[in-house]
Amino acid sequence: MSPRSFAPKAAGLIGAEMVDSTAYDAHRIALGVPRGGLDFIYGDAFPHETNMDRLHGVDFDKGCYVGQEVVVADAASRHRAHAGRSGSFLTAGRQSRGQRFSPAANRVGTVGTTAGHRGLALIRIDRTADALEAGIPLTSGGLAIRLAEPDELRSTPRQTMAMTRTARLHADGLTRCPWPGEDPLYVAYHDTEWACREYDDRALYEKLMLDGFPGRVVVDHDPAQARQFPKAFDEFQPEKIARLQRKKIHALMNDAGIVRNRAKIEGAINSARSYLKGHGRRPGFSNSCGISSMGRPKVNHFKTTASVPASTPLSIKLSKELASRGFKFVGPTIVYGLHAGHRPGQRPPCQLLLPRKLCRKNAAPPASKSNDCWKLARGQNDGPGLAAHVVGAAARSSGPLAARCRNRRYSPRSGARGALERTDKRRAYFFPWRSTRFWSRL
Amino acid sequence: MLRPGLGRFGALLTPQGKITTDFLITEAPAGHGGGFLIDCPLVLAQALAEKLGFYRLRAKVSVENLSESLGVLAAWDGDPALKPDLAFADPRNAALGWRILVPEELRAKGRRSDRGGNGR
Repeated sequence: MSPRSFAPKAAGLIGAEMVDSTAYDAHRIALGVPRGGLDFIYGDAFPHETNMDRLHGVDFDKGCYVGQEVVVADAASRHRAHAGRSGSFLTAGRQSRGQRFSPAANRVGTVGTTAGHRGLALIRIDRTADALEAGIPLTSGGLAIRLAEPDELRSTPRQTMAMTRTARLHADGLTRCPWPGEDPLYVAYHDTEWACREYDDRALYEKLMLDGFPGRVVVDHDPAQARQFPKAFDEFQPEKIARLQRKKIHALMNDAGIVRNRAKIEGAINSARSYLKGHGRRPGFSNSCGISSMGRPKVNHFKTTASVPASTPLSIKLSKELASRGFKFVGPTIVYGLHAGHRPGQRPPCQLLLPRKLCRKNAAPPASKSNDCWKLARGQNDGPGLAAHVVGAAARSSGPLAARCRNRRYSPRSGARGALERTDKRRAYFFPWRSTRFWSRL
Repeated sequence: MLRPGLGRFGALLTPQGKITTDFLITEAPAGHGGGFLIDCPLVLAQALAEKLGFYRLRAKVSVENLSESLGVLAAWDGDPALKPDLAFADPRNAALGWRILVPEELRAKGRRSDRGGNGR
């Protein structure tokens, strides 16, 4: 029996009248919803060109997906103003697909699917605006056309698809960055890793290594692998990594616990050598990374997550600087990640990213002292294993954060011990100004 | 957050940010074996399943092309009299109505004959 024969039965069950697929297309076109393969070509269209952002198809708060840099850059920057857009137009007669709008020389638009007097077209909104301003009528196939106003296209916002672009208030009374959502794993990562400002050279090096490996996400989710990864990499001790021989590289390539990519592994070795070359000299790695300027962390104030770029001029500069010193896999986006804990991305701000004074001023006070993750002490090395990097104050207190700190997904940072000695002199409270005396060259 | 009865619109992009496949995704209720169902153009279903398999790495998931056993209906202008388990409101625009995934016993390729179910 042909599958099509079931359609009327299914339609009857839900109490719907069976209609032709052209009716659906007409409905879709009236709503400004393009169809892949006809209105745009798969593999050739950017999400904003297909109205994906207006159709609730782009979540600017989501992190780490293929193509993210381009999507975020498009949304945030100049691209948007003069980019192509899938727009609706109204016309007096039939239009054929692929027909160019006139004035054709400027390629102002190309017709996609049509239904009656309405159609969808990929339109360069800046050029159509220029043409209209200059008084040049838009035509297509000799017929006058009118562009539908964006308001006519705007889809109704849906409650279920509401996207938070500002900090999110969590059940424990703290406002955090929007990206972790409610996922406890991400929240814990946000609190204990991402939002913690890092000044220790060794720890920064480790962060650079981890962020450079695309398997980071996998590592986050699997505790067994989380142990495997630093183990395979000699606990991220640059001295050891720098001395890795070809035999060991081969062993790493066969180690299922890490991302097996020769370029990445060799990159890690090169980076370790470069790190050691500059080790002990001033400015230290932390300062070279430009995470301090004028002795204070660089704090960017972007209004929404969408406007937080994937890289900044500083990170591009730093990326070039590190690359020239022989570091590998230090693109602007990865390097920008080093600054993560140093850049509150939105307003109202994430409480964990603010000094306490500002916290009091801008938001509800933290539930307890131990919640001020960023100022907690590092260290308190209570044995090997996952809990070794528990931060001092949190380990002693019993708040929800303490539990999260104990449940850390990573094995200890190799740099943690070194950092511990030095932080001990600071009475076990991590305070950021330790290694920021010297000016960065950047 | 995705849950049964709720769909979201998304796409798989190339590293250059271009759309490989756009799709609607929903979670299948436990009664239907759980997992996630992806509603994408039929011609791209096989390629998408392969691509997702490529990104799977070591995760314990299986990706299957179900276009042979699941059909898709679109219903608009009103709510369905009977809401099937595998139905969700079209996340792109409220006026687009409902997407209804029709399992094998009621297999149908109706108003939108170009879309195939694909997932789990």
